[in-house]
Amino acid sequence: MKVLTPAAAKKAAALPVAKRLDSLEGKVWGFVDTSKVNADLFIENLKAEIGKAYRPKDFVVVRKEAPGFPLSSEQTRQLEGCSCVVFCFGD
Amino acid sequence: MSWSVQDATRLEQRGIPTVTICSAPFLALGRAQAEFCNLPSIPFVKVLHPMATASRETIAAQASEVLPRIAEALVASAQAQDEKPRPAEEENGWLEVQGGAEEINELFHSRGWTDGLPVIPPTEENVRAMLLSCGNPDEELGRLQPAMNPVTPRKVAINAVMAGCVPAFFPVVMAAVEGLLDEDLALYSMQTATNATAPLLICNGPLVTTLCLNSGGNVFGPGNRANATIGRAVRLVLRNVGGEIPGVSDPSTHGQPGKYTFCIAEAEEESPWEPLHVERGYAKTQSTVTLIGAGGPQNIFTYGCQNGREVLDTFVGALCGLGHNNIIFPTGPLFVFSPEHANTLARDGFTKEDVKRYLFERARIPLARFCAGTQRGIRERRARWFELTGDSEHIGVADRPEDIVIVVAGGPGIHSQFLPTAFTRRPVTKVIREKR
Repeated sequence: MKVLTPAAAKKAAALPVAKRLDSLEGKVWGFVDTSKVNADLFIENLKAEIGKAYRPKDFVVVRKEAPGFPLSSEQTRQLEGCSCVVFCFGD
Repeated sequence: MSWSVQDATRLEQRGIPTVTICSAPFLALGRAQAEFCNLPSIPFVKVLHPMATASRETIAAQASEVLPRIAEALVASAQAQDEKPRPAEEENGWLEVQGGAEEINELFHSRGWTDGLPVIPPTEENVRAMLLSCGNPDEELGRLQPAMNPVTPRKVAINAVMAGCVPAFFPVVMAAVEGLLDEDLALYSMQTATNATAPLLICNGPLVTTLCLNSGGNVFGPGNRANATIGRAVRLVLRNVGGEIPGVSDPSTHGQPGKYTFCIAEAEEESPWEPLHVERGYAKTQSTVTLIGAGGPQNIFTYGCQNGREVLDTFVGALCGLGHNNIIFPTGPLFVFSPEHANTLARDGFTKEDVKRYLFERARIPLARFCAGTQRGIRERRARWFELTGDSEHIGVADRPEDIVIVVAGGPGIHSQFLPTAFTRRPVTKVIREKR
């Protein structure tokens, strides 16, 4: 018997991730606080550890209004000035 | 979690390396989202679960422990640079199966294309019959979240056949799919959350009678072909086209029975008030489907109440429990009033607007009843309520009276249903077009 398939027709080709950094020394670290409980505390601890290990140039932290919403355009703009971004966290 | 992956994808595409931290149970969800975003190599670093209730010491220890893995994810490594991109996958849209309905069901179950219940085999003939009311069956209607796959009338028809719909139901399914694509529904957030919310379909207008949709007794229950199969068709579309797979891309902590089928109709002839679609600007002669992200119905039993005010005070009590979605989400609660309750209220002089205002003004919970962390969350996520009301000591269940949604449905009895809602920015109403 011939039957039609219910699933989506095509899967697009995978994209590559951004070029990784050569080193973490002296970088601007961005953090996204997803507003999950304790994400802020985790970021504070992480900043302290990064401060000891990599002599960061600066930290930028943005906090989402709610975990179920995307970053605002202003928050995205702030993060675009960072060398790398850490999302904290899904829980 | 899912939005983190979407946001991270955008930053990666702008050349900024990212890493997403997530606790162990959400790793599969994160990876599924990364696949959907066509960026499967996006890095994740795992932490303990649950972080929400972890001690300060545990959180500090986790931060220290994961830093080397964060560094590894952000710094160039031979493996990452040499990675070959995955090629595009194609499929021809049909399968030849040896055997009959039983073999097809086994195959579809094994491919993950069912909700666990048997399906009607989608043959070319019955899919063609379903598509008779449509023009171009391969027209892309939009991209369905969370997988962002293209949705076409043909794919919707295949899933509608599988769900058991007859062709006359198809225009309702199509209108509902149009609603799923509306940004106001916030489907992506709803589908990828641990919350149990699911899109509820509420049908209005003349087609309710024509299609024999149930608006009476057991309206949320089994036994009606139209309600059962229309709701199920939408759920199968969400699964097979939208990629919402329980345990993978759908991390709902409990799910809910409405994730099998969730479709009701309003009992317009039994209601003393204007129906939902008229309230939302449509003509009474138009048939519509309204979608809203709703949790499971909670029964409100007004035993002993003899007038409208006593009935409403019982509703206020039901709204003032802690922990339901409308404390955190500003969507506005949904009530499905029994005709008996609606008519008691109308008899005692309450219009629908009066009822909404009564509930809005009285269903306010003292913030002091919540723990400090919840109070902080409420102040952040319901900031608009504090701005609009100027009440800094309580939280209400909606930002404005008009955000409360009231529908009349159900059989005889002194019961109504409170459905906490979430995610949806405002209910989405679409006209059911018999021809497309």
